[in-house]
Amino acid sequence: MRVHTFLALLLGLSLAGGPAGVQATLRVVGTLPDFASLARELGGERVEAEALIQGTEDPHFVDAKPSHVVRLHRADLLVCIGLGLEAGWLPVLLTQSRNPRIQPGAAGYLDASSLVTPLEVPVKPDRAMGDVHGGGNPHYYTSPVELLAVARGISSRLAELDPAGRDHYARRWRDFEARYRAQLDLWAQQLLPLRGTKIVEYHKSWVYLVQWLGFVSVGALEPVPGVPPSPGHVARLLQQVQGQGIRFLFQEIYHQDNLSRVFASKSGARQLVLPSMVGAAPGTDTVLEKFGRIVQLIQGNGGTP
Amino acid sequence: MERRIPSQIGVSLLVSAFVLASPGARAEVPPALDPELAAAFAADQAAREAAPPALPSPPVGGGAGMRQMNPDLSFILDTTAAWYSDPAWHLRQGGHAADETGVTLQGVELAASASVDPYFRFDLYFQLGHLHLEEAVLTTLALPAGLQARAGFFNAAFGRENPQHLHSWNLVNPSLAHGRFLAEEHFAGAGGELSWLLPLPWYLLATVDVFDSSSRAGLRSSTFGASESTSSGLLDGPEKLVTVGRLESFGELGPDWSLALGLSGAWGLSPHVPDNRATLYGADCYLKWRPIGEGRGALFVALTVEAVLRDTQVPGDSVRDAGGYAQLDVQLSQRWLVTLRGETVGWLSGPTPDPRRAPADDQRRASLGLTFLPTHFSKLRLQGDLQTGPTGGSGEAGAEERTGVAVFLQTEISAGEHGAHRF
Repeated sequence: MRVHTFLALLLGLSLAGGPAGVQATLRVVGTLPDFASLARELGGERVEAEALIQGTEDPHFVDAKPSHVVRLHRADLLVCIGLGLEAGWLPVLLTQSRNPRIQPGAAGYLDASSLVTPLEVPVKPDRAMGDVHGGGNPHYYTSPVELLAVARGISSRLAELDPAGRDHYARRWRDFEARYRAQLDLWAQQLLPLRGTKIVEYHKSWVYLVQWLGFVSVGALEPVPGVPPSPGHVARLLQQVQGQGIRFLFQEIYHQDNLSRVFASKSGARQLVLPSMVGAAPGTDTVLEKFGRIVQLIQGNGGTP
Repeated sequence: MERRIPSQIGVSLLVSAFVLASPGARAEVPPALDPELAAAFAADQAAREAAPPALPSPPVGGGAGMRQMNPDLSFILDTTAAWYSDPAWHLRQGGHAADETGVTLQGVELAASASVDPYFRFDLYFQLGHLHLEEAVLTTLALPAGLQARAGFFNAAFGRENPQHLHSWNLVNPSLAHGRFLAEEHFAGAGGELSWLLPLPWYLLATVDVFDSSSRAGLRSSTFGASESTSSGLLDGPEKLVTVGRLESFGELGPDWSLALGLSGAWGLSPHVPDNRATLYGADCYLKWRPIGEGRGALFVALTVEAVLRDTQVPGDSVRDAGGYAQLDVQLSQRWLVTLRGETVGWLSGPTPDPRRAPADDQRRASLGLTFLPTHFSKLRLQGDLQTGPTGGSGEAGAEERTGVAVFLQTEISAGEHGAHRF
């Protein structure tokens, strides 16, 4: 009888969700919400897209949940960050997915890092340098320029997987690119006076954004990537940046903010918790909204501290 | 009547699964092939069959390219210093044991993994410290209909704890129930596995393992194995197979809560009396809260509860014993993890199944572990155990209950590219 009850609970749990989504031509899974958002914008009604992680989640440490297995099992296209950022959780999900369409090498596997120009590629990667990635810094999704290249790659891959919709994807890409480039030009104009601004990062997540903005990163609170800030390192960094006119401290929402707030105030900078991913802050449901929010935060704090 | 219940439930589950499967879960219907293309395929196929086998392709790209084709390799070292309040008596610590006061090399694991081709991947875990194979298994990647097969020497899909390797534990020692019912290290053997991800919008996985208990590779089990008097060393009958079944389900209860439930069973020959059999039943539950929706980094709280019941045939009777544990893990920050475990094992009914080996009778243990993680690749763990058990077996005169304390200090480092872990 107890076995009966337990089995009923199992079955109930497995059936205790809502109805399935609307039938679409292609099912796209992005590890990042940014990739899912791009697929939705570029695919329209021919695409159903979802993300494995939330914008508020640290992509370094994601639980390889069985619910992700189900999503990947049904996917026609997987778009991942690559450069080893998902090494701690995506490979096991891919194996468990039982889906040959999205295995590495298949047409349904798109490593978005292959579409960008990686920065900070170590000559000889070593874990003594922290949690560095042999292929380069994987946080390219903080740059609107790099995400435009990713968007182009996603659009091409959608057309490849769904040839009947080639014209549809081409039309949506042209529209998206025009809107995106116009917005980029506008932001570039608005941010031009801030070029050369010095910042400090919490984690080395912002190198691509810093490059696009024309800012200069003078250091990070983490002594090496993946190692939490230590008192000694923070004290040395504070000493180093004093008098340099540091304007901002950039950090992500999933990092603790007490230390960075105090560091910012002592260094004369302003702490900015920027949305590194779509959904990391209210009103950032698309890539353009995300970067719009980043620009807004920088502009809002653009004056002398 | 009682015997029919599991099959009724199984059929009901399967029927329900199909009936209630998502309308969005599409059947794979390939587009019809153009007749000209079909003819070309057939011609090429005939030509391939007529041609001599192709020579292997020469390596492409030289140095860097070839290195990328090599398996991911990692080494994991676990070293533990142990102290027992009573060195002459304490509960056995199970596999990778730090069973004596002093310093123990709990494990030096070499792990290698790689995709073989689009259809298979290969995973190897070798224990360099004790020179034995932990797992060597191929896994299919491209079977249809949500099926996946594994073959080789691998850990049985029984419960949550058994598939986990030493470096995945949040305490120094495995649970008492694991050692008594499953294996000192891992319940594992040479055999095959078939698992099926049911076509539901939610995760429900059914798995069946079959192990050869007479294989030269050995069967690692505390419960199963051919009796020495009947063991021919050959798989000369289906009764020498050990079968394991598991059903596991998972649900996300909002963005921050996860619940995994599992039921396991294992059937095979008991090693204690010729032609007598044993059965294991297991149930497990894992509930996790991780506030990712609030962007609160590494913080999580997880509760694991696992129970095992064993039913062993003996002439004219059967013996039942059971055990289990409840474990609470609290990841306070990126660097600090606190683990609390309470557990018990004991007899329920019947005589001792193996008169030659007096069983440790009712045992209880409480453990508290504090783990410091300098990075994702290193750990330093301090653990204290309070353990209670008899000095001898239930059949022994003069057995008395003893209580002792154990303290462990463990270091663990992981170097290289190590595969991801399951939830």
